[in-house]
This record gives sequence, structure tokens and C-alpha cells, in this order.
Amino acid sequence: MIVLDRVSKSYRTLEGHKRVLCDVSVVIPPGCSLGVLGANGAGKSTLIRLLAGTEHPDAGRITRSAANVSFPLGFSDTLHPKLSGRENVVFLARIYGLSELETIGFVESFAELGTYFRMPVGTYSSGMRARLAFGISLAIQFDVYLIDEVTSVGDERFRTKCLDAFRQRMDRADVIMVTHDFETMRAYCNIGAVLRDGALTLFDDLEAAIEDHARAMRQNPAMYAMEPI
Amino acid sequence: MIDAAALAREAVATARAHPHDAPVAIHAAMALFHVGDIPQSLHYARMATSLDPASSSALRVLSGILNAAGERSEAIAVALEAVRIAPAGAELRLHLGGLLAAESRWKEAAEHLSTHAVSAAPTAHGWHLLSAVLRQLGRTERATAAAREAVRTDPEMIEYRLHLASLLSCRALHSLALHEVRLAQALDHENPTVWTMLSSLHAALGDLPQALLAAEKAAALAGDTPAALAQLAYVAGLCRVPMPDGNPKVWLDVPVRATKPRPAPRRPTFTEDLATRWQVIFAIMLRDIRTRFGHTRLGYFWAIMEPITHLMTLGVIFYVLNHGTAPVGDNLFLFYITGLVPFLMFSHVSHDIMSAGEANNAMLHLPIVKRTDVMIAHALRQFGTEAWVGIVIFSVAGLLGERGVPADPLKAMLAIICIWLLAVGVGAVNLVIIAMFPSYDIVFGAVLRLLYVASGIYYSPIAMPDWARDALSYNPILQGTEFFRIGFFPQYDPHWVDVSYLLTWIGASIGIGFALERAMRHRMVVYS
Repeated sequence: MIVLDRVSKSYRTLEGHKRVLCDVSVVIPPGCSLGVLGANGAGKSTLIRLLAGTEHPDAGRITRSAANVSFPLGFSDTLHPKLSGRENVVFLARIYGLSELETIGFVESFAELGTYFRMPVGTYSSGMRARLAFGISLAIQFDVYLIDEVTSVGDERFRTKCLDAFRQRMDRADVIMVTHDFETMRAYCNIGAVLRDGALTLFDDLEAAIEDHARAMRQNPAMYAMEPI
Repeated sequence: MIDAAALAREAVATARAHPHDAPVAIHAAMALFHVGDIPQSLHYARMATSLDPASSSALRVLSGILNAAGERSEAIAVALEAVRIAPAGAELRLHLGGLLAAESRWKEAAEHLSTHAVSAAPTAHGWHLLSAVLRQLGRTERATAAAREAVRTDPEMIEYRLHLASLLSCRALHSLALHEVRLAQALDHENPTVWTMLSSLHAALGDLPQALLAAEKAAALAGDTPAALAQLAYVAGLCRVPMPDGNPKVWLDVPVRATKPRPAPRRPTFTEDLATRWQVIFAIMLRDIRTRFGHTRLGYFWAIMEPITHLMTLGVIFYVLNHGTAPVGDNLFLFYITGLVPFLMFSHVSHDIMSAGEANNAMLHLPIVKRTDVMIAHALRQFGTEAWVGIVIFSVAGLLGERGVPADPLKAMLAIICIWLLAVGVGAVNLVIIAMFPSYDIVFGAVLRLLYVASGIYYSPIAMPDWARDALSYNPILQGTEFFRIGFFPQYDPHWVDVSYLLTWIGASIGIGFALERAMRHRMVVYS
């Protein structure tokens, strides 16, 4: 269960404070997978980072009561460029208290890096880095997976493999997802939330959330219109 | 049309009657051109130029007909000749500029079109063409000015307005561009290109709902052409709304995921929590050793050797320079070392903890890793390193027949731990300050150098006047080094060492440091 208790977050920009979340209180119960909707720049990625704990709210609390929340799926920034792929895997296995050998075995066969697995990550292409990051994300059984725009990695076959592995993980986990691909969102999420003007509205039904969001985007546009620069 | 054909026949007849009259031939060529008989008109135009090679109007007509016949390079050559004869011909310049632009010879085109533009009667088309050519040359500012002239000359032309708008949006002047497009919209409300442009400008200005509406309108008006659909897909993507007429299959086989209530996982106990923290800290320590000291087996050995050589060099230099007797103990070199080892423990550890807060510390992106974990891992690793340095150096001293083992090992150890804890506290405070004021790094470097001379490394407060000793005894690091010497040397028990004062410093710095870290946590952004 993830609880957001009166959470506020804003950024200082050149035009002044940009409010992303304003006094948001929601409960995401276990067993629910959430698709987050909102226009570009509404703060969906910030919400994901707040949930991951890599950023902290200005006010309020986020409680992840005992839920092991993932880092954003396929996020390769945490890989150390000087360490080999294998050493990076060992590090993550260690911090998450997993069997090192098993994790190495899984990622090595999953990421298909061949001999590069023992080479520094700095020598990898971006595709290889992404494959390694996906392998690591999927090697760990989290309770809640955070997904921020799954960019398609590799070829069709690798994507299918990713989805299969992810589906297995999903039997015992939930997902909080931001994506422009509604097909994927419908496949994985059963509840939806709309982020708009700093408010996060939860819907029991994903379709209802999508409908509400689309309606709001079309209706009364002047309400959301920005002043011309 | 019938009239034109009759006129053409008449003109040809006249031309046949006067085979040496150039203007008549020109007239025939133009009349034939109007009825679409290109080969015949070409014949008469060539005739006219051969009759009067100095006539720029004959050349102009020939060039136009050549262009219509698809002989563009010849048309350009003829037009260039005409311009040479009549450099002031504005229409001629426009014609030539258009031909050159069609050949992508932008520079020359710009030259002739600008001559046209500064002539007495520049046309809107001329300005428009000049603007397009200038844009190709990358001179968007001048191009915008030219486009504005085109719009001013012919305000009714939607194309010119759209061109101006696209130039303005190129220069990120989106709201000015929007104004132009709105004026174009007033001219024709049902133009899909206008709506598409309106949509992309709204999107650029961040007004997504308006952009979406405009894109949908454009798609409806254009009957789903690829350009309109691409714009709609782009805006729908920005708005995160599904495409209205996307794949219908999506709506049919939706694998409905039922809510599977799972018992909320048990909250970990305190010991489990502690175990997780240790797991993380230990993993960070191992990773740091690996990344900092390279991949060689001797990597960590060098990490220890580096401060040892530093100590040895300093100790030896001061030993050689100063032949006096040691203030404490019977060896000056050993006296220096007993000051340097605790001091380096302080300076290295406090500096190392600061680096745990570096904004680019990628580990902090992992939700399980807390900043305090990184701090503690750095502190422990550095403690290990410094302890090894001390052990090696004092063992060497012992092997050389000097005092290698402290007189009171427990007290010496305690002193080292005190210094280390003080460094942890000061490092934690620094970490927060540096996150707020990045230039603090330099300030702290200066403070460390000051402390280097104020911590009783190369002298003993014994030899100091009372007032200096009183002042120096406020320095907690001096307290630490002296505390270490108490443990190291037998029968050394100076009255100015106040362990409770040192402990207060430790408690306060650790308390303030970690409390500050907790309070400021949300302000210390981890950049991605």
C-alpha cells in the first residue's frame, strides 16, 4: 500500500514556481495497478520519482508501508560506467539481498550481452545499457514496479521477452505506469489516475480515467490555456 | 480562348509579313505562349532575339518560354544576359531570382531578388520568394522581414501569412506567429493548413487543449491526409489522449486485469530494517573500493600506500629540518606521526563524507539507498583505510626499534574513534552546507589548511605561552591528537586535554549534521 498524505511539490522555474502536486492525498491499495494520465508537463514523471523516493516532497509524506518499490523500470542511470555489467549486477543483488549467482545467471541470459557482460558499462551502446537495465529491473521481485515511458528497447523478440518476464513478475506485483501507449496501459492497469493542475484524481476504472482525461483535454480549453509568452 | 487563338493566328500572320521586325516577333511568341504552343512560341522568341540581340525584353520572353519548355539552365543563361543588358529591370530580376531559386542557387537568387525588392515597385511575390531564399541561406531574421513585406504588400494571401508565421515560430516567436495565423484564419476559416499550423503553435505555447482541438479540426477538414494525421498523433501524444480513430482492435481485446487483493506485506521489524541498511552499506563499500581503486589487485594497496608515502615524506622533511628534541617521547619523527595520523583521519573522512552528497551520485536513484547509507559507507571505508595506514606505519616504526605499539592501546584506539566520529559529524554538516552553497568546498579546504597548523601536529602545546595554549585548546582536533598522544606515549598527561569537550563536539556535530540532512533532504535534488 502506498499512501500519499497531503503531498505538495513545486519547482522553481524561470517563470516562477511551477506547482506539480498540490496537497495530494491518495491511497494506492495493494493489488491495484495504476495508470497515470495527464498532459505533457503535468508532472507525471515527477510523481514517479517521488514514489521511487529519489525526490522528496516539499510538504507531506509518502508512506510505502513495507512495499518494496522499484526504481523506474529500465532506468540505466544507476549503472556505474567503470564497473562491468556483471559487477553492477552483483552490486544490485547485494543491496537487495539476493543470491548473487542466481541474479548474475538471470541477467546474463536475459540481457544477451555476450562477452560485453564482463566489460565496463562505459563501453556499452545505449541499447546494451538499456538491455542490461531491463535485465536488472526484472531480476528483482519488487512489490510495485514503477514504469515511466517504456521506450521500446531492442527488436521485437527482445520486447516480447521483456513482456513475458514482466508478466511473470506481475503475478506477485503491481505496477504504476506512465505511458503514451494506451494499449500497454490497458493491458497492465486496472485503475487510473488523472494528474491535472496539481491535483491527482483516482478512478476505480482505467477507462473512466482515460475518458475523463480526454474530455478535460477537449472541453473548456480556455480553462487550461496558458498566457502567451 | 477562341479570342486568344485568333489573336495568335493574327500575330503569326503579322510576324510572317514583317520577318525583320523584332517587336512583332516577340508579340507572336507571347501570343503563341498564351495559347500553349510552346515549340512555335520558342521559334518566334529565338527569332526575335536573333533580330535584336540587345533587346532585354526579347531575352526575357525567350527565357520565360525556355523555362516553360523545361530548359531551365538555358533559361537562366538567357535571363542573365538580359539582366546584363538591362540591370534595372525589376521584373527581370524577379524572374531570374525565381529561376535560380528553383535550381537551389540560393546565393545568386538572393542577390537578384534583393535587387527586385529595392526597386520602385517590388511585388508581394518577389518579397515572398526573397524570404524563402533567405531562409534557405539560414538568415531567418532577414527572411522574416522580407516575409513581413510580402504580407504587407498583399495582405489577402494566406500562403504569405503562413510563411511568415512559420518563420516566426522558427525563431521561437510563437505568439507573434500565432497572431499571423489567426489573421490567416480570418481570411479562410476552413483551410486545413491554417488549422494544422494553429495546432502546432498552440502546442509550442503549451496550450495543449487548444492544440488538440485545432489538430482535430485540421484532420476533419483535410480528410485525414498524412500531414494532418501526423499532427493529430503528435498532439494526442503530448496530451496523452488516445487517437480518436485509432486501432479498433485495441478496444476489443482488452485483457481485463481484475483487482487481486493481496495482503499488504508485513512491515519489517527493526532488526530486519537494520539488516537491510547493513546490506546496502556493505554493498556500497565494496562497490566504492572497486570503483575508486581500479581493477588491479594492488588497487587497494595503493590506496593505503599513498597516504603512507605522504606521511613518511612530511615526517622525514620536518625531522631533517628540525634537530631539536621531541617535545613528547624520544623521537621527533614519531611525534610528528602521532599528530599526522589522527589529523589525516579527520581531514580524509570529513572530506569523503561530503562527496556522498554529490548531486550526481547515481546510487541515490535507487529507492532502497538512502543518502545516510552512502555517508556511513564512505565513513566506514575511510576508517578502514586510515586504520590500515596507521597500523602499517607504526609497525614499521616498531620494526625500526622505535615505539610501535601505544602505551595504552585502548586509549589510543578510543582517541582515533573520537576523531573519526568528529569527522563524521563535521562531514555531515558540510554535506548539507555544500548542497546549499556549492562554493563552500573552497571555504572548508581553507579551514582544513588552517587546522593543519593549529592542531599540534609539528609542535606540542607544552612549548606554548598560556594564552596561545588556551586559544588552541578550543580546537577539537587538537584535543583529539593530544588525546591520541596520551594513549600512545607513556606518562604523557597534559592538563589541557578535556575529553568531555571533545565528546560534546562529537555529539553536537553528529546531531546537527544528521538532523540537517533529514530536514534538507527534499531540497537536495538528485539530478537525473
